[in-house]
Amino acid sequence: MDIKELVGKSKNKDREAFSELFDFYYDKIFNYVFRRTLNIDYAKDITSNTFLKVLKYLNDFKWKGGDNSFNAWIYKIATNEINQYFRKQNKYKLIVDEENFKELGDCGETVREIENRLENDEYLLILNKGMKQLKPIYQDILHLRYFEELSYEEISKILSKNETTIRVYSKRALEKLKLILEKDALVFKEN
Amino acid sequence: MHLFLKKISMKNIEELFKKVNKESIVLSEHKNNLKNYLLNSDYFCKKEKKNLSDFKLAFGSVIFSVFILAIIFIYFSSYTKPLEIADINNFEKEIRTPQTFSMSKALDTAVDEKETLYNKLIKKENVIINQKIWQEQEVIVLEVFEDNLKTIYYFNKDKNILLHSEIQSK
Repeated sequence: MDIKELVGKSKNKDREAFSELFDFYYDKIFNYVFRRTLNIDYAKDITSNTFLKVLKYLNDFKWKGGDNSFNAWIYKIATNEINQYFRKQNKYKLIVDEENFKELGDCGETVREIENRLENDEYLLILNKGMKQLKPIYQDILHLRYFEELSYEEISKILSKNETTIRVYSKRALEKLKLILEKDALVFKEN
Repeated sequence: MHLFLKKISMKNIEELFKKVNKESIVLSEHKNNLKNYLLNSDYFCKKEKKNLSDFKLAFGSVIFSVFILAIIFIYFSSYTKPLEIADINNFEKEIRTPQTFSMSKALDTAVDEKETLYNKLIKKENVIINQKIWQEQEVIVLEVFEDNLKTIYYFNKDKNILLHSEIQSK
């Protein structure tokens, strides 16, 4: 089943279709959020809130501008949640009804494995450290473009800017990031 | 934690992104919990509630229709067609001609007082009740004596229609 069909059926309250749609997007969204926050607990909360909002507003979603509309829409929700998290930091809350949502969590081993992987992923840590000094919109663009590998067209839909602006911002974001990395001596020239 | 690049260029920065481990992190426990929570949320239950309310609505409609039909049935079963105004006018026109006026008046009286005229008369003193054949039909004849006059009333055998009356001097 393609995404369009799954979305259509999910709108008609088809559990099976929504389950498939969720499976397709959960990993993408969780990893996108995790790379931006580098915090497993917040990544879980932001991902949960993203999917709750997907379900809440699913009937309002309309296919505008091609087949990647839904992809852009779901990333837009996730990006908004991430930006809220950065604004609120410790005050960011999970919106699920905790009585019904059994947060068993993943076992310690899984979490330790992720933390180890993160510690060894120097590139991600350096880039993240540098990107945090950029304007939020530049961070959004770089993550969506280089980690999520989305097209400029999709990014323009997610961030509600025209494609040319996104291309210009993307270039500026890379230039600024380069300066930050050089300035903080995170990346050294090899003579 | 430092990286060594031959030359920092825009391309190098882009290369850095490519070197990030993009292998997916999977939190299966969280994924399953969240999925179950979402699939059991109001969003999917609303459909069932809606179906239930549709059923209630349909059931209500059926009950209401039956109720309306019952009222219609009861109404028409006790319905008698009212006499048309035109029919009444024709009837009155036919009856109230000069030739038939006196008879009409007597009939009107008999009809108006069909339950009481005969009874009233038989309650009087000096009344003789007879049964005989008059104009080829069986009639009840009442002879009422008052002062020097004798009034004779001819009723049909059911005593509810005054057929004829005449006054004779004693």
